[in-house]
Amino acid sequence: MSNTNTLTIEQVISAVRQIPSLSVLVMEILASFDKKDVNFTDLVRKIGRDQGLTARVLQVANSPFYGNSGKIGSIKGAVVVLGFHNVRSLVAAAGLINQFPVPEVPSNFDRMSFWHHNIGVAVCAHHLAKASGRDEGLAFTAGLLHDVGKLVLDAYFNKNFAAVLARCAADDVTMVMAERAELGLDHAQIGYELTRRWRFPVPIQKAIRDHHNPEYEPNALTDLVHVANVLSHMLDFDDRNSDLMPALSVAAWTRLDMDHDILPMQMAEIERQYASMKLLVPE
Amino acid sequence: MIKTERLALDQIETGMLLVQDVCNPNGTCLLSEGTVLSAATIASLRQREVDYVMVSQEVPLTLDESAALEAGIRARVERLFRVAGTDPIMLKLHNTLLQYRLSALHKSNSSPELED
Repeated sequence: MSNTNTLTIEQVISAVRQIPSLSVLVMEILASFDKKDVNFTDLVRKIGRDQGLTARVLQVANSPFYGNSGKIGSIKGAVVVLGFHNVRSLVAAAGLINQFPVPEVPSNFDRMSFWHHNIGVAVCAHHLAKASGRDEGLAFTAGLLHDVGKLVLDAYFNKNFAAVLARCAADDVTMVMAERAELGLDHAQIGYELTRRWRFPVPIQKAIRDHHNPEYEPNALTDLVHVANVLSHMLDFDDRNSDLMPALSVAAWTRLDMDHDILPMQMAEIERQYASMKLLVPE
Repeated sequence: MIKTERLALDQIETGMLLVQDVCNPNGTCLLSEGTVLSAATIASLRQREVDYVMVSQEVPLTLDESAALEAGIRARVERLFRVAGTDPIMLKLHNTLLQYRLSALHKSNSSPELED
């Protein structure tokens, strides 16, 4: 019965080819994560020209978390207060979220809840990266996009995806388990194909591919996203009653050298930061 | 526990915490978020004909209310971990989350000793 919903990786790749490219500006920002010699002034000027992006970034920059209510009026000003790296992550996030507008034909997939969970993972990954001295910008962006494959399923394989959602509910299993059973592949593989096509920094591609299977090719960014995903489910950011805790890889947790005792403190800080970042999603 | 709500000006009291900037219609900020309201600031809001403000305050819970909230937290955590099984690290996360949620609930009340 499930055979009718099976997808091949070739079908996925050809769907991914139809997806419009990211804006030149967002691509440039993403590429800059990997570079050492970034022309900050030039990038800030370009960001400032995009009014939609600027408005959304300023909304977050002026949120209570940063303690600057209403005082920051420009991207330049945001860079002065928050630092270039934070602003760059915010702009990338705002640009990426806008890339996937809500579909005209409504599906059972809740986009709002999707972005809330993904922003939660971005915030968790950023926090864990900071705590362990790793690149925060990469972690934030990888976290934000770790489930992007689900959007591809929702947009291009609506019927197959409906079967996945139905199986999640009927069998009370996680999305990734339902996808493997129903489609024969999962959103992590699809996200990998998409970010490869978009020429994202390679560590982000791999973190997305392996976030449910961090033993496949152990890497610090993959471990961060894997653990961040578990924390984001734990903190109920997606606000779904049916949500299930995914399994945590002890190996990934150990490699990150996580201290279990400070977890509650970290959770409190993550929840505070999440409340601000949530503003990146249009209501 | 901390309760946050939108209140009409005649319902606000001194000591409440503003959780959102109060601005006049042309965007000028009258009071910024984080201000603890005093008799003077409330009077100035009244003078400027502000209708509503977002405030938070500490509300003591009755034993029944506290028990109901605690039961809700326990049920939610149980549900979230319903298929996590007996994997030691998942049990540890389960317990950490439960303690974290309960401690937030009891933070501003007289905290009873929590059992494991």
